[in-house]
Amino acid sequence: MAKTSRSTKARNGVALLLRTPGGLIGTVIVVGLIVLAIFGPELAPYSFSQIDVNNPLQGPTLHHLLGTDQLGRDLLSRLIYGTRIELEVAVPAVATALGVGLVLGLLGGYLGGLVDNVVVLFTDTCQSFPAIVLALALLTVLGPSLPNLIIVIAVTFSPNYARTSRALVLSVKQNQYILAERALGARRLRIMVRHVLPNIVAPLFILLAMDIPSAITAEAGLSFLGLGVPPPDPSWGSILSDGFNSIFQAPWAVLFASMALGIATIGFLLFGEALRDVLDPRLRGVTGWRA
Amino acid sequence: MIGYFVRRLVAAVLVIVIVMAFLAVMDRLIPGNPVTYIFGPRANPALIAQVRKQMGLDVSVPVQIYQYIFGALHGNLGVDFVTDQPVSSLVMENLPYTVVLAFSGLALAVVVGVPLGILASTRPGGFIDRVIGIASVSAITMPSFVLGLLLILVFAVHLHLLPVIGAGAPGDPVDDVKHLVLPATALAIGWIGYLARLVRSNMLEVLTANYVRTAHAFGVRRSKVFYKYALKNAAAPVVAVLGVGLGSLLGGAIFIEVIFDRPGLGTLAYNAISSRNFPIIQGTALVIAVMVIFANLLADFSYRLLDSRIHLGQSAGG
Amino acid sequence: MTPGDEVVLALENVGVEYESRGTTMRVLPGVSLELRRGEVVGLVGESGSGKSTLALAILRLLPANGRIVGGQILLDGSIDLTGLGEEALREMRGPKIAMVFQDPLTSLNPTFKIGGQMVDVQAAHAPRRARRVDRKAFLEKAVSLLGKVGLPDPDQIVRSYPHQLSGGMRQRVMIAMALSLEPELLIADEPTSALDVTLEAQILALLRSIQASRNLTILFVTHDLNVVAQICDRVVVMYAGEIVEQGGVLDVFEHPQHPYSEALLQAVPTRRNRGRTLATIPGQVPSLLREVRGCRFADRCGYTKQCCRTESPPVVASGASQAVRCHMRGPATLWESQEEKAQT
Repeated sequence: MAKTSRSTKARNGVALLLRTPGGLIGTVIVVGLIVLAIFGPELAPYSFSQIDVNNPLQGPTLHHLLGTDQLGRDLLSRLIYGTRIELEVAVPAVATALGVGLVLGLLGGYLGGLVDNVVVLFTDTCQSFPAIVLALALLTVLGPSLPNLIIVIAVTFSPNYARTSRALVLSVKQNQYILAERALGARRLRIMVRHVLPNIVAPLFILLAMDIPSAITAEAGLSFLGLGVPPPDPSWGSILSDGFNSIFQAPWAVLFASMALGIATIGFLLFGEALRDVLDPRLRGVTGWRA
Repeated sequence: MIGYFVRRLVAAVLVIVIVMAFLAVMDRLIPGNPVTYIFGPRANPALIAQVRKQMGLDVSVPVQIYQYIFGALHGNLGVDFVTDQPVSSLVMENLPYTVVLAFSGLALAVVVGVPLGILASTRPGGFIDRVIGIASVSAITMPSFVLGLLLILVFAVHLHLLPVIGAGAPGDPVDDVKHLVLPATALAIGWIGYLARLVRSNMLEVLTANYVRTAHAFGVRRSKVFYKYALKNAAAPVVAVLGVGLGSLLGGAIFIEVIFDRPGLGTLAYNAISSRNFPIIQGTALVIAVMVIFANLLADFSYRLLDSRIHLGQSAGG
Repeated sequence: MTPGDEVVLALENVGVEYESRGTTMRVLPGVSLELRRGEVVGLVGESGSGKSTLALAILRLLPANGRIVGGQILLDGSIDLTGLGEEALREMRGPKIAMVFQDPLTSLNPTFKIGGQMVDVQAAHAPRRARRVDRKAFLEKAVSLLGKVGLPDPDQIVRSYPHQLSGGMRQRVMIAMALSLEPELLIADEPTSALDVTLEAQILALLRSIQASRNLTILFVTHDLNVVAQICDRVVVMYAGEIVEQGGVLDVFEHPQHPYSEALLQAVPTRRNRGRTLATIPGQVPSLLREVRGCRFADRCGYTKQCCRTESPPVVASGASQAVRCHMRGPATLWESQEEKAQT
């Protein structure tokens, strides 16, 4: 059988991804969000902190396509800049959670014994807190800031990755090629990194894609409560919070910020599902749903 | 089987102890000088010393942990920084509201979500099934607090139908219920969608199982097969999920209480955050964690009781 | 007891289709078969021959994507099972025709006790008023039946769950369940395929004794010719959805009339061909997605001639008691059988 080059494999993968309506929409949204995050603030009509006290709480007009908030700031610009903040928080947070969880799960699953018991105890403990409570407590102590937000979200998400990767490692451990390597006297570290690791990354990667919307939501929630990125940085959560305070006068901030959250969530979920179907349709049961 | 229950109980207690230990020493994570962090530059040495003692920072870590756990077991969760009230009484005052909200949300989710899932499974691929499917997915994607905001927008701002502030006049159960409607719905919608999908897929899986075919082969009535045989098998995983649900609902309840201006642990914690009133946060987190741990334990036990395959242990061989 | 002449079940030109991802497959083109009272008929064929489909079709237990298209299934000469309404069909399942399946572990509900399941089965066919009251009587009957199928300590078994019993015990439970409604016809879909040889022998002995004591008609679906030899009076050989040969067991085994039956019997390991390479049938079962012209076995048959590929072979009587679907045995024949060739 001829070996397909990596580039053709990648191109085939992308084509498969775009074949289903869900995959197409999801990919378009995700790519769009990434583009907005990178280039948006340059293209936005206004600066996100530009105050205009003469035009507060306006609905959509020609000057302000999505209206203004209570300080007269353009909602469209704020939402666009907010995209960058959301991704700036969510992606590193989930990636860190993946890294930490992966290492823990790999160690615990492969080495077993006391190490495993510690890892399991750790994941059980972390998962016994509703994530928000843990985040609240930590943020109160550490103080709200972007890096702290990333750390806190990473901490609340890592038990799930630790647990999942541990389960994956346990199942891969049974495979014949692992036994063969051990029979040949390979060192444990080598087996873990060269043989176990590559076989468990795929489902974890999918979990990552599907966890990004949860991380975004978490950030929005924490910002809503005032524990997120400090003002005037326009996290979608703070836009929601400001909008909530003036909800009886003008619904626009709440409406559009909710839509932004909704679109981002659906986009990443669809993308994640399509990614899963491309990488391995057998993983039908893997979903990263979190309240 | 008893052995399993006991082991799980012991594990749960162990987790609670670890949680308490973690909460006890959390204030050591505060960057810089914790006291000035909380009180600002106006703190004087006497105040600093007093607060440090209060926060347990004057002793070593193990002692601090021990003191906290000892106190907690006796119902003493410390006093809050601002008003010097015992945290435990503040928590107990607000606990019922949160519990009522969380349970209402859960009950609503089950009462609406499970029948929807069953309905969707009766005619898979049909119109109703697809409608329910799309609705469930949409429900899942929205975080509950956003839904809460939108509900307020629609029902209170525009339609003036339901109250959105507070928990209702005390002593008036009807008013209480009216005030519960929107908050509980906001909490429940995500879980309604999730349960509907879960029940639907479990039912479909069970309905194609061999033992259902056997029941049909022996002429058992279709309705009986559906409700007695299939449902019981599909129910077990749902119960397991409910335990997890309670945990996430308690978390979501915090937002909902803040948005709807309801009394409860969420509002308590939220107010404490802005004043950096750490003991309250500590106490609230502990109480919520204990509730979640026991909810998970309960769900785990009920799941195993329902699915006797696991509860009775190994089979007698092939 | 020798089989009588009364026809219990008659399948006339029964067709079955499966739909999968938009394409329709005609798994059974049109099968005709008769079962007489008291006889044990073995339905043999390899995987994909359609034998299980046929068995399931009788009680209309096909999976959701399968349906019966055409033909009739006449019970006791008068009731057409294909045309019955849901409720009427339900009344047939159990009291008239009972079915035992291949894998007893997945065929019994894991979350209910054995006793409860057996009682439910009987209660499903009791008159409405009596249902509540008689549950005790049903349980007693269940216990007695479990004893009759050779299970020790039936009282303990009715209180047990399926996973607490061994495979052989579970299959006996299924048989007891099938007998509880006293059916005329028992369809056994590979009941011993999941069991080891000793258990298989026990179950077969059990079925033989039940058959004898109740004059039960049994349709025994299997891929194992040894089993057929042990228990069946008549054998029906299926290939690619068609019946290619049927007849008395001894006749078919000693003088197979169809090339496929001949090849099957040659492939069975016996003491005689010990140490020699086992014979196999080259090729594969034809795909059912395309219409097949001519004989379906033509590609793998050792006797193929021109007519085999162009015309469907007729069904003719041949040999001692057999009916065969083959050009070789047809009237205007250009054929000589292997034996006749050898003699010249």
